[in-house]
Amino acid sequence: MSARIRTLLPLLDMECILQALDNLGERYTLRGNDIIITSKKYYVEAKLSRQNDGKYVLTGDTDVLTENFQKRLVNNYKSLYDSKVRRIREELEKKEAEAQRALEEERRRIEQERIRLQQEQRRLEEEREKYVESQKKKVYEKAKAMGYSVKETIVKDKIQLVLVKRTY
Amino acid sequence: MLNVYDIEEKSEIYGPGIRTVLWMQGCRLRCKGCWNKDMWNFKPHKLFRVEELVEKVKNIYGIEGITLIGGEPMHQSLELLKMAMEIKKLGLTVVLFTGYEFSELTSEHEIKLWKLSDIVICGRYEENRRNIYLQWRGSENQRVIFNTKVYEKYTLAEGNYCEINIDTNGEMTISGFPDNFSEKDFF
Repeated sequence: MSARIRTLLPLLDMECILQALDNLGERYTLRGNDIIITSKKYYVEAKLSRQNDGKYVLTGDTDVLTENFQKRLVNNYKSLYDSKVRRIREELEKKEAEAQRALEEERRRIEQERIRLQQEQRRLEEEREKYVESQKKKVYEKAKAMGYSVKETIVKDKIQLVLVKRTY
Repeated sequence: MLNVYDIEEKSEIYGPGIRTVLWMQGCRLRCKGCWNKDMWNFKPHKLFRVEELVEKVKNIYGIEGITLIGGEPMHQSLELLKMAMEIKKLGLTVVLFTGYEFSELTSEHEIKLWKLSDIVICGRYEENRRNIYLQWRGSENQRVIFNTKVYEKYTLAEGNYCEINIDTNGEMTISGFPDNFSEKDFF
């Protein structure tokens, strides 16, 4: 009396399938990877089996698998699936925007830190140069007071002062 | 290995012209009033192979030669002789500061090092004969001997000489025969 047909539906997401079945008022149970649907009307079983490629395939009695039921299940599923995809996309865009903002913030912070360190380095460099100059000035002053002549040369990165006091 | 206290790549006060100066670590003479007591002990300080030092000197542009001072260079005469021979091959001159007199030398390499040096400044530092207005010497008993013809026409320019190096951090190194000129003045 009953025929056995196999209809391929683009059903991929279990969460949406179960939600669609709830929306249609169908009862179901989970058995391994399969969703077992029991028709309210005829109390016969139909089965959504998960294939290796991730698709769920509907198998069952023709009385259960009326074209109307399939259409309603697929339409419901599609609507739920589209909402889910949209929600995920929006969530992703939100997260991307957050990440971008955080990145910009971090970049700004690092740039400020870089500028601060650069200024600090410049300050230290100026202080160092000032100190070297003051040391040199002290030597010149003391040498002069003691009657030395001073010859200044740069040896590599050092200042070399040769102090001579001749006694002819 | 040569035990070195310090190296000044370019100096103008330890011999004629611009010279690389090597202060050797270790001295048994321990003259009273010595200015370089840090160089008395023989603990390894900066150790170099002769070849390393020769290579280093070879890469210093514009020097007339090297000066060996200390400490007491004669305590490391075997290695220093090897170095001096290599330095001479480069067409550079050698100035040797030693607390010994020639008559006190006991080994062949000490004598060879002395004879190979173009100028030898010799004799103990005698505190009671201190005179800082003598070129290259710290006391009146010390002598300058021109060993080779290279500097036979050189005339000593008596006077007080010192050299102050200020590095990029403002740290100073004072060397020579400073007349009441010490680091203390700058700190």
